[in-house]
Amino acid sequence: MVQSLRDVGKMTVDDMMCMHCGACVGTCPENAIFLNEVFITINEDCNQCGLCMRVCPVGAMDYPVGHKLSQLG
Amino acid sequence: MHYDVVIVGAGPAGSITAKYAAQGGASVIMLEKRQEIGSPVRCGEGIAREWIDEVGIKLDRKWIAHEVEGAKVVSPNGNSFCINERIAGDEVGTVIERDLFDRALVEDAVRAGADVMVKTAVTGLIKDGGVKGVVADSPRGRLEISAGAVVGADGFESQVGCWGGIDTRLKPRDVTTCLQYRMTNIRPDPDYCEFILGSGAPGGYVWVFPKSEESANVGMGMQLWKLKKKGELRYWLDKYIEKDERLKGGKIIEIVSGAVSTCAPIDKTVSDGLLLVGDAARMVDPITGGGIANACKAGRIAGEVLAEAAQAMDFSEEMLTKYEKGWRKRLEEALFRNWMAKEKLVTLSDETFDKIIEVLARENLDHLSVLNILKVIQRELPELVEEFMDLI
Ligand SMILES: Cc1cc2nc3c(=O)[nH]c(=O)nc-3n(C[C@H](O)[C@H](O)[C@H](O)COP(=O)(O)OP(=O)(O)OC[C@H]3O[C@@H](n4cnc5c(N)ncnc54)[C@H](O)[C@@H]3O)c2cc1C
Ligand code: SF4
Ligand code: SF4
Repeated sequence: MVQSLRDVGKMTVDDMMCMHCGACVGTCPENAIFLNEVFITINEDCNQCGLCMRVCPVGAMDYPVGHKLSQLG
Repeated sequence: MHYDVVIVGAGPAGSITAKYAAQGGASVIMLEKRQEIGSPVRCGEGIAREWIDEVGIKLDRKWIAHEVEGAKVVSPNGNSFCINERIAGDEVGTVIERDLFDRALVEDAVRAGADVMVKTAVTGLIKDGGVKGVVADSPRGRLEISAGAVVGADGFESQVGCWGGIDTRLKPRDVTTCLQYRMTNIRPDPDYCEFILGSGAPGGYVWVFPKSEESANVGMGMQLWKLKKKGELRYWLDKYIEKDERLKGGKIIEIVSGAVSTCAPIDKTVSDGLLLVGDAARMVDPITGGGIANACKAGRIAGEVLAEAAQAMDFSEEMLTKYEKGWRKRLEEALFRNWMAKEKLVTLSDETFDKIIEVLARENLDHLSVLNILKVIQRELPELVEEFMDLI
């Protein structure tokens, strides 16, 4: 498993891939993501809609390993 | 700590707002979560020369990377037409160094009297009836700053609106996600900013904005609702680059990612003690995805109204509505029209794009606008008129 993968509650972010661009933050329908310049956190409002994963330009966001919708290899 | 105006975000919208508010006598502070203003860059870096006077920016060689003659629009089959930069819209004419540009605007604001703090992330609002200030994390710990008005100039990732009760959330149709490489060792057309339609960028386009004879920003924007797989955008951009001969052997020296809104104007941008400006207020042009110009134009209006509010010591919604009326008068019609046009454009097939570009290439348009293009379509491509009926 990738070392830089980090569980952020209901989703997973790869800290090495993340560009800290905020595309996911502005897209989240629950306004659940916070980006403190270089560190993503997701709060309990997340409904696992997956939009953050689809919008992420570099593929840094995903469902947690083992989740049926996870695209983590 | 207390200020008349606390601005969240020191991008173009925040800086221009700060400058005009401070110039008008308000006490102003900008809070920026990044440790370095303007960096990392999240932009294609194209701007026009014609609007910068309106917002009091002086052209400065420091932040100009390259100048072009105009825009070149390329259709899926490779046909193209060129538009002189004077009429090519708010994004074409000058390719800038965006980090230096943002820094220059902050310096202007500071010169006008504004304060600024970097590496200071606003994490919430202080509310008591209306909005009364912000809470922020800074290297010196947690800060509470009270304010007459808080300005959300926090860009696409804006949360200030939602925190303050103004819904700025977007539909997946109205989000365009972008990936860009700054490439060197390539041969871009140094005279034009290129917009390449089709080319495997469904519901978006590829842009090649030259930064010199041998380097350019090569990017792709795609509509979120068309993307299913993780990291799909990178796949499409890499694929495009592979087949563009001019980019073969190019080296990537910077990766830029981000997103823009491509929505219709939102219903509300002010409430008691709160005002939104720039990308935070979803003011990006839905066709081009460019937003620096509108962020600055609205920023000037916001700053002027905030200065007036500070003088009257009245930051009520009623007072701030002057700003809302002001920006709508200046920007709303074009934003709405371009949003309608975007909704149409994303449904067109490559073949239809080819046809339209072919006739536009023959025309000598002296003024490029959605309206003018529609007129040409009406005259030259009557078979398409039905498709565009709701726009005409
Ligand atoms: C890939 C890409 C290419 C683009 N190309 C072009 C182009 O060629 N031409 C053009 O005109 N436009 C372009 N745009 C759009 C343009 O970048 C934006 O419209 C413009 O930056 C808007 O300015 P702004 O001041 O509203 O927001 P921003 O420039 O995004 O500034 C917002 C600032 O707020 C800060 N911030 C956010 N949240 C907080 C917080 N909680 N606390 C403190 N600070 C915070 C951010 O760090 C940021 O510095 C592009 C966008 C993208 C993503
Ligand atoms: S969209 Fe992707 S790269 Fe951008 S901040 Fe979110 S996870 Fe990171
Ligand atoms: S899965 Fe949906 S709700 Fe959860 S953080 Fe991502 S975008 Fe927000």
